[in-house]
Amino acid sequence: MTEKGRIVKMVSQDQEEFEVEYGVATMSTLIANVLQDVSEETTTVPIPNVNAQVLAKVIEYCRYHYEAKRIDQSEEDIERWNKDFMKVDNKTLFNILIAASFLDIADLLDLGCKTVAGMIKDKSVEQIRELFCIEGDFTEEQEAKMREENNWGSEMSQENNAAQ
Amino acid sequence: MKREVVIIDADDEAEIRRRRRSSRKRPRATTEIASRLLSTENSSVQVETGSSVSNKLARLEVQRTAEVPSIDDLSDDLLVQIFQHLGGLLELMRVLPVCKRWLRVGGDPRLWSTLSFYNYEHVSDAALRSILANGQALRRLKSLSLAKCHRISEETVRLIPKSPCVNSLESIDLSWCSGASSRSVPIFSRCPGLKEVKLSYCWKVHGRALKCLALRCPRLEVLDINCCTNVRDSHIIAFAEHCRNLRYLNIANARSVSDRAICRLAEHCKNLEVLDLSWCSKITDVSLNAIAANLPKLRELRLNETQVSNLGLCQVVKSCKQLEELHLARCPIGVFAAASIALHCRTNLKILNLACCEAIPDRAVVAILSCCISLRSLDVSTLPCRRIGNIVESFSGQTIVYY
Repeated sequence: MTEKGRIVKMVSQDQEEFEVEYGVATMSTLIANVLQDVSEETTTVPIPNVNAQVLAKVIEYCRYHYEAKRIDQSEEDIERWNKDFMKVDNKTLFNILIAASFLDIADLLDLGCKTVAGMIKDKSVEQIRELFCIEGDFTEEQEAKMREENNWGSEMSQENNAAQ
Repeated sequence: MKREVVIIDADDEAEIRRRRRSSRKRPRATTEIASRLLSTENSSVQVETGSSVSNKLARLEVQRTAEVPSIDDLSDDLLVQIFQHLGGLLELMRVLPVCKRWLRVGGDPRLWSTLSFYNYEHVSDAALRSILANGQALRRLKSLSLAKCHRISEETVRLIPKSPCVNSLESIDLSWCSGASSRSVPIFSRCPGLKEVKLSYCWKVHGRALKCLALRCPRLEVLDINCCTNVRDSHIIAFAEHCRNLRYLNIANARSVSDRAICRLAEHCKNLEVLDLSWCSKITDVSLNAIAANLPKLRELRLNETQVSNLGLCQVVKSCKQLEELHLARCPIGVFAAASIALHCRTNLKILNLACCEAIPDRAVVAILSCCISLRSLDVSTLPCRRIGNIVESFSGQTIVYY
């Protein structure tokens, strides 16, 4: 059985089926491992904890990168595409992260983590809480203490800003 | 509520229980959605078949996953991976006070392998101490850079090799750091895995304090003691005899180091790739002969203002085929040395510094330019009356010439 032309059926949590070429599907290390010992022409792989909307997004990513590799797409183009791909709301972003981690797609996981890290960077604690709807669960004394300990960091960034 | 209406057979009931149990962890959204679902559809959902139940459950599940995800739903592991992309420990420490969970996850030792105060050189002594007090997290610290941190006391630097990172530390950079001294540096010999020590411009560190490192850190590969005070032959010989893995050695400005030490060094440390002997004014061709005979892997050699001459240099360029960078500013070399460079460094040499080598004539410079095809940078500045402007233009390629 050649790997070319082989189709993998991925079934989302909500029973939607996605037909994907073998090379695209096996960008997920999990699926690659599952398919290792199977030789049928079409294999159905249930993905029990990823819903259709997110799975579609993940497959979109895999398909693009599979193609990009095949036709030797330039780094800048890929970078640009990745950036556009990650322009989603927080919910979808976290869903993609969880899916990428479950399906073990290292590059997508990396991209997602980088995106979230980019959102966190250069923001104050209050801004981060607001952005992700996180409740600060420290007592006031703890907050004050941590602010003091971390003071030198903000001191520096202010100085840097002033220097610029 | 008519929640029970939809349950038909025992299998489904078990399934629903299982799902309920698993969804209990996220009670807010599930109950909310479930009740919304029931309130809008319960009129039509009086009796259903097993398959539609599972469909409904699936739908419920979909809505749950579509509605709930927030950063709180990411596993600790994912959060660690996000933190790893923040660009450094100091950026990480800035965001940890967001909530208790972040603070806890941020203590993961995977995040604590490198601590660098690059861009945060104003760090106060007290702040560094409070970081060092974070025992558990420091357990896996491999690399610590306090380069140019000028508010750090000797006492605080002494605390570093006494913190839990002592067994994991592989690299320490104290260049220009105010806390590096003959009292603090020798304590790093407690770190058995130390591979990299950078003490550039640590005036307060004396040669005899370094000997301790030589004797107790046999794995050293990178050592920079540029401008340390009173570095003598015996100290260099101690490193040569005990640290056979040295790849990078910078002993620039060690004015009392002589050929005797360099000969021993070349005999013992055959893996040396980078050697900086600039301003070691006692160095002569004797050292160069030893280097030529023993160091085939040498990539970078700096001999600015030493006493090396044509003959020694000729030996080096003949034997060290890997040489990419050669610095010979203010060395008493002449046309013979330049011709040897042009002859033997044709393919690999990338950077050549001949500043103030007054005995090298224009035609030798032109010969080097035309022979050394990889040359990226050539410094022939402050030479008397160079008249090679128009010649240089014809070698426009990648080569940059200062004159």
